[in-house]
Amino acid sequence: MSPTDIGHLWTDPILLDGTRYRARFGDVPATPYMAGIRETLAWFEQHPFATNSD
Amino acid sequence: MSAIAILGAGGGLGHACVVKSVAAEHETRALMRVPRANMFDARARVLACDALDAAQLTRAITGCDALLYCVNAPLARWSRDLPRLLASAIEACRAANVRLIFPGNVWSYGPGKGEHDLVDEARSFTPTSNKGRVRARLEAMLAQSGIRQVILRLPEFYGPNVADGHRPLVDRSHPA
Repeated sequence: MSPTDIGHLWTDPILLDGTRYRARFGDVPATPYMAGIRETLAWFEQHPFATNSD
Repeated sequence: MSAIAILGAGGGLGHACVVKSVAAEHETRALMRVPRANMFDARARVLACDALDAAQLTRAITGCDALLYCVNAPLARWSRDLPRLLASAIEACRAANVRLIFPGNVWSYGPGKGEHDLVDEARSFTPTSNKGRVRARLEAMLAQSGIRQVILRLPEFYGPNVADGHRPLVDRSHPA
C-alpha cells in the first residue's frame, strides 16, 4: 500500500465542517503549530527509540 | 464520571486518549497487547488484551460506557488486518453492550471537489486510494453492525508519542 496514494490531499484538499460538533461540544481545541512542533520535537529527543508498534 | 476503555493505548492516538481520560477523572482502562504500565498515570488501569481475541476484549470492556478504538496495523497489512481487528471490536461491543467510538479519517472521501470543499456528515465516500478504500470499508462495517457507535472524524495528527511514520521526518530534521 503506497504511502503516496493519498497525494490528492495536497492537490485537492477538503475542509471538515465542524458546525454540528461545535453546537454540541463547543469550540474544537487547537494547539498552535509552533507550540505543537516544539513539544513534539522535545518528546522525540527524550524518546529516541520509542515506537508504537508492539 | 464514566468508565472508558482505550484499545491500542500504547499508540499515538490511544496514549493521548488515556491521558485525557484520566485527567477528566474517568475510570480508565488502558488496553494494550504488551502492557507498559509505566507509560501512564497510576490512575489508569493497564490491561493486557489481544484486540483480535473478541472474548478477551469482551471481558476487558464489560462495565464500560465506551470503547475508544485506537488500534492500528502497519500500512502494508491494512487490507488484511484492519477489517479483522474492527470485526473483533464490533463483536465485543455488541456482547458487552458498550458504545464504540471510532476515529474516522479523511482518506475515505477522496479528492476535494473544487476550492474550499467543505465536507459535512452527509458527504458520501468516494475514495480513490487503496488506504481510503480500506477506511471506507471499515465505516461500512460499522454502519451495518447495528451497535451503538460514534464516529469522530479526525484529519492527520502528530504530537508526543506519535512515533511511527513521523520518526523519519524528525530524524531527518536532526542530521547527526
